[in-house]
Amino acid sequence: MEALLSDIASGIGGPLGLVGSGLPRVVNFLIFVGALYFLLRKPVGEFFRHRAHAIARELEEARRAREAAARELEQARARLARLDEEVAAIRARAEQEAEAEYERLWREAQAEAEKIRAMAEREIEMARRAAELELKTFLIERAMARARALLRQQLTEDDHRRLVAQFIEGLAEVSR
Amino acid sequence: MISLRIARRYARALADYTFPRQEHEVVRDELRALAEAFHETPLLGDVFANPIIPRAQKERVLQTLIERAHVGRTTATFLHLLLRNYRLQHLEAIARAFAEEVDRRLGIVTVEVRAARPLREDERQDVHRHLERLTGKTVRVREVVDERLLGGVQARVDSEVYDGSLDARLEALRRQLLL
Repeated sequence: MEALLSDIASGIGGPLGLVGSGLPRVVNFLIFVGALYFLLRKPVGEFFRHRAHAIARELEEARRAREAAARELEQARARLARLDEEVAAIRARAEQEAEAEYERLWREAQAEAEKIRAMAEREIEMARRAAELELKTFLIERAMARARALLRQQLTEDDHRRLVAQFIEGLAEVSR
Repeated sequence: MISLRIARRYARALADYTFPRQEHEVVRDELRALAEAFHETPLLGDVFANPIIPRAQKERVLQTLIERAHVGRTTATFLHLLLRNYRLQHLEAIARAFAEEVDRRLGIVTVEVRAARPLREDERQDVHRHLERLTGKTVRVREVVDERLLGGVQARVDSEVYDGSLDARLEALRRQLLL
């Protein structure tokens, strides 16, 4: 502004030779500038205040974000420092659980195997008995058939009479 | 086939009628003879069972039968009753039930005696005597020669069997061995 005024002042007696016609123009210009200043002072001031607040807010947020990031970084560093311990603990726990699971599965498998063995033994025993009975029945039936055939062939009249006499004796026994 | 219950009902009614008149034995014998005729000539049963043949015609056939068999009035009336009730074709079962009813009322029990070979007379008498002592009743022995038996005798008194056969002994042995 001062430079402008000095330019204007130097211009009055300057090479343009506008001393007579230039002054009102300068005055007009000054009035214009004054009016402009008067009109724009508030909104421009308001704008710059808002802007300053916004920048301050953004700066505050940026600061908080930086602090949060710093905290997270700190936590991450701490966690990283404990990571080996955690890994070791997890591994120990996993090994323990795997051992327990192995034991449980082993016991279950043994119990199951025992059950299967007992069942198989029972089935074998039953099959053995069935086979024995079948064989025994077959042999007895054969023996009986043979006995019947022999008896039919060899029973004499005297044998028949003796059997009848035995029956009569039996009746006499029962009727007494 | 007529049910045993129906045959027994007729038999009891006939026995109720004939016993007081002392006709039961005569009627039993007459019915038995006629039942044998029915058995030997199945056509007779077929005629009386045939619903197409008119009743009058059946009456004529029955009358002829009665005359030829010379049956008494009671038996003849009973036969006519059976014809009227459509039961004449079951005469064999009814005659058998009547004979059993007569035996029951007379205290006679029929015992079926099965033997592998025919019994001698002395054996028959012994069996008869012991069965009467055993049952405490008059026994009528029905002797059957059963060639399927190996040897010995079986006697059936009602539902009870006295088994003196060789087959029974073998069966007992078989069961003992199977145990």
